[in-house]
Amino acid sequence: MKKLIAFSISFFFATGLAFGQDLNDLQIASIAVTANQVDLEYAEIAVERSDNEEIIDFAETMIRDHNAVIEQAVELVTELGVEPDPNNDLTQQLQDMSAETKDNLRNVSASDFDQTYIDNEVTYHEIVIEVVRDILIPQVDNEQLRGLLETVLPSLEAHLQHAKMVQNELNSSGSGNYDY
Amino acid sequence: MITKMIPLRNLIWALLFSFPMLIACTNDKSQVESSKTVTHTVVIENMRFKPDTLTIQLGDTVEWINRDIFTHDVTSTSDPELTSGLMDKDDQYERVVDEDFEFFCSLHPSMTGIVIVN
Repeated sequence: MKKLIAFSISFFFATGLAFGQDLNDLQIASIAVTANQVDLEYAEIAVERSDNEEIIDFAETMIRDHNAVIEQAVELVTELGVEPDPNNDLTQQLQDMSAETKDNLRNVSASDFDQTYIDNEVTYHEIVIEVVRDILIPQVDNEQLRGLLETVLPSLEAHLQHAKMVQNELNSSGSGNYDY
Repeated sequence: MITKMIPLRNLIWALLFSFPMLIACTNDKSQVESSKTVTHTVVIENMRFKPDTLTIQLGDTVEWINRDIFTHDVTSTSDPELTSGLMDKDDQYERVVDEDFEFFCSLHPSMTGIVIVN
């Protein structure tokens, strides 16, 4: 858990630095793809490790949705004939921190896994929403890439709300349905 | 006797002519009734049902169209077995709604909506 908190704080500082960093569209595309890829990989670990139906359903939705975004991003850069540029602080930070978090998710005890995973999902989505809304969208020039980011934002918000529902469900002793 | 035969013949002819017309009238009536029912569209876009509240007349049809890049479904809140199944981009699902229908996307439970039947 401490590692995850450290991850959040480190990433928060990284995004704080990124506020002052000029990003071009290729770097923005790289950050967007990496952020989706990172959460997809967390979800794959969850499907592998969890026995909780709600966690597995949530993780499968993350895999499906983040794959859809990555496919759209790949289509877009192919159409534009460009390559995302991973040479920026934010992409590097995301990759470094995700390696640490994946290591933690793989090694945390089975009894703590579900809580660890969903707590990280809540924190991760809160931060990524902030990055997309406050850093990437204001700096993007290409209209199609802007459109993709604007499509992604409500999905991240829906994921966050879903993650909070699952988190509340885990925190409560019962195992009934969500309170829709 | 003759005076009684003529009305009977007339009656037979009248029945022969009026029967197809009666059928036609019946068909017309059903067409009028079916033309009164309306199909309403709910678009799934940007992780929302638009509109998320829809008021319809009894027997109207509601169709949901997924315009998102994400897969969604339309599932009854009271009966999760009542569901459209997975809807990919541009997939459609329709049903005749004859009572209030509260629904959500089971993949993204924050997406909710309601059809109110007058």
